[in-house]
Amino acid sequence: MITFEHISKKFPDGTEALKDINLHIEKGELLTLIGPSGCGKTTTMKMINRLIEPSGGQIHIDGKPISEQNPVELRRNIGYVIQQIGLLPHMTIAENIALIPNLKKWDKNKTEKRIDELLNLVGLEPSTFRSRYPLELSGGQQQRVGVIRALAAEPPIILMDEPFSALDPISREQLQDELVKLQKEIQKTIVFVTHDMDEAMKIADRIAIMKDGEILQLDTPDRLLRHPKNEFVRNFIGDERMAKGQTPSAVDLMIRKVATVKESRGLAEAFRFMKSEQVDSLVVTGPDQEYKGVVTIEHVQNHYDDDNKRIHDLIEKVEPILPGVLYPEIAKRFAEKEPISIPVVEAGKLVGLVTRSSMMRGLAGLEQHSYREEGALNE
Amino acid sequence: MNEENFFVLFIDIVQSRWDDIFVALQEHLFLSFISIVIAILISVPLGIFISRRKKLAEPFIAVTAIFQTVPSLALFGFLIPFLGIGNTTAIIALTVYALLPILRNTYTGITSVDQSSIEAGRGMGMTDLQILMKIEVPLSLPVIMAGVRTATVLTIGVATLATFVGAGGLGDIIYRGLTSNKDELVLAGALPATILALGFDLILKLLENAATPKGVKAKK
Ligand SMILES: Nc1ncnc2c1ncn2[C@@H]1O[C@H](COP(=O)(O)OP(=O)(O)OP(=O)(O)O)[C@@H](O)[C@H]1O
Ligand SMILES: [Mg+2]
Repeated sequence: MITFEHISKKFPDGTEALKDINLHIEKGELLTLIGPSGCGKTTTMKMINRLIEPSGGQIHIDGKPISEQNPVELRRNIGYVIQQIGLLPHMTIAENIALIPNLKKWDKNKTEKRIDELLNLVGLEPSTFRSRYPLELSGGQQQRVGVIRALAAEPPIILMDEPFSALDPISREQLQDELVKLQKEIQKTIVFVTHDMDEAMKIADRIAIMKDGEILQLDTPDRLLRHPKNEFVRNFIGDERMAKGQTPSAVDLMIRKVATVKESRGLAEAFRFMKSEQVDSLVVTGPDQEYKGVVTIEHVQNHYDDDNKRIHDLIEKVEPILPGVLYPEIAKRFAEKEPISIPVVEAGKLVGLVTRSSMMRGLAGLEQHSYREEGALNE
Repeated sequence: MNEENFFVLFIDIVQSRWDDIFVALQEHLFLSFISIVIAILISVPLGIFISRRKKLAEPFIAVTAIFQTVPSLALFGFLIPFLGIGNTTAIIALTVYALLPILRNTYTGITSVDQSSIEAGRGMGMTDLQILMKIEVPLSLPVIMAGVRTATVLTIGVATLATFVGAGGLGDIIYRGLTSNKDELVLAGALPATILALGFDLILKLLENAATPKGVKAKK
């Protein structure tokens, strides 16, 4: 879909930002560019929508050289999330999102519907947020708007330059999850710049590791982990995971301090607890950590108004795994059944919880985040 | 001359010369207004132009700044040999005075628009004209308006000198008061000029607030 052929870039001041980049991005692929600051990620990305022109080489989109296309037309068909968010401060959130649809002269009704749809998609209530101004939003909310603004006119290609960098870890994970889900649903070609390896591992189909204006290795997360091309790549991915050299199991990939709840609790308190712990599900346990099931925040919200409902009524029997289950098996479970998380249970007792992000952290050899010590809502 | 006496004289003269004062006021307004409009028409586009070519900005602003340092009376006098006397001369002189504040504020306003807003606009496929009209101008409008306000107050003051090139205005009344040694007549010309300046200052201040985009005010 997007092809770089021998792309180089030398800025007028002599900075050699890119040296002979060759790259092919498939349709529907999520490719991340990663590398240390100043390695040329942004420059590479801005070449795709011609905000920066190459000094040498050609870029083709769908076989057509972009140097022969009108840059304004080209950009209207490429969503772009800039590193600094760049919401227009004098326009409301709705007006910001409607920018490209309006430039493309979409029908008013269609645009209005699209705005609501997108706001809902990232959990911003349209009736509240439509008429707000960017400066009345938190950094995280602004970044969400930046992302959906790029999606608004349904461009086949989306460029995202460190779109989640200003977020706290929790919102960040949430948005990453949303992006992965979205990508599955809408099948866009996404080029995503980051310098966070965790993030790249979590969302990418393929990762391009860059350094000093060159692509050192371009591979799937799995292949990068297994076959790093050189020392730099190995270090960049994190060597702890490499040193082990064996397939990790649930124990390596799980969080140990799990947010739990007892069956008899009411929904309101469980909801508040999830909010304060910033988790989207709780594991239901009986006496002595006996595993009973899982409740999700969605479920709790849906039944929130029913005073008589207790946690007991909303339990989902998510099938747990044993601590020794290996990574490929776990990955398959996530892919097939798409659970929010998988409880790890031994002899009927809860020992941990594997989430998508804990899995990625585990694979990258990183410390697991843990929830607070008192992470249990007990009787 | 005691205070009360002066006040009575002043009221008398305003009543007896009301027609003259009113005509002078209209002339004054006319001269100021035309000059400001011309200054806006020159300075705003020029300010936008030099914000695109920063190398030109310094010399342009320097030249208009020099215009402004020329004592006003000298500027009027200087123009007479070339343009004779009359409205045209007065308007040109006043326009020259009004250029700097508007030019400088337009330039500052446009160049201080957040680069990320502009890059976002360009990245989304806005044309240069759309970026100008939908992003740069709205965001710098309050600053440009502040320049217009400064220029207006200045022009209304300087326009009292238009009488020396035979263009009338409230300066006529003041000048007549001076030559006939009637302080109350001087005041009858100066007071309306002051009220006019203050009035416009207020109106333009309100317009400036109205021009500040809501979303930008929210920040404060
Ligand atoms: N307009 C420019 N003029 C001169 N040099 C530039 C310009 N833009 C970028 N560079 C240089 O090109 C190199 C690559 O910059 P680029 O912005 O692509 O880096 P990056 O990988 O996105 O870094 P970061 O992670 O900090 O965003 C850097 O050395 C930078 O200083
Ligand atoms: Mg960058």
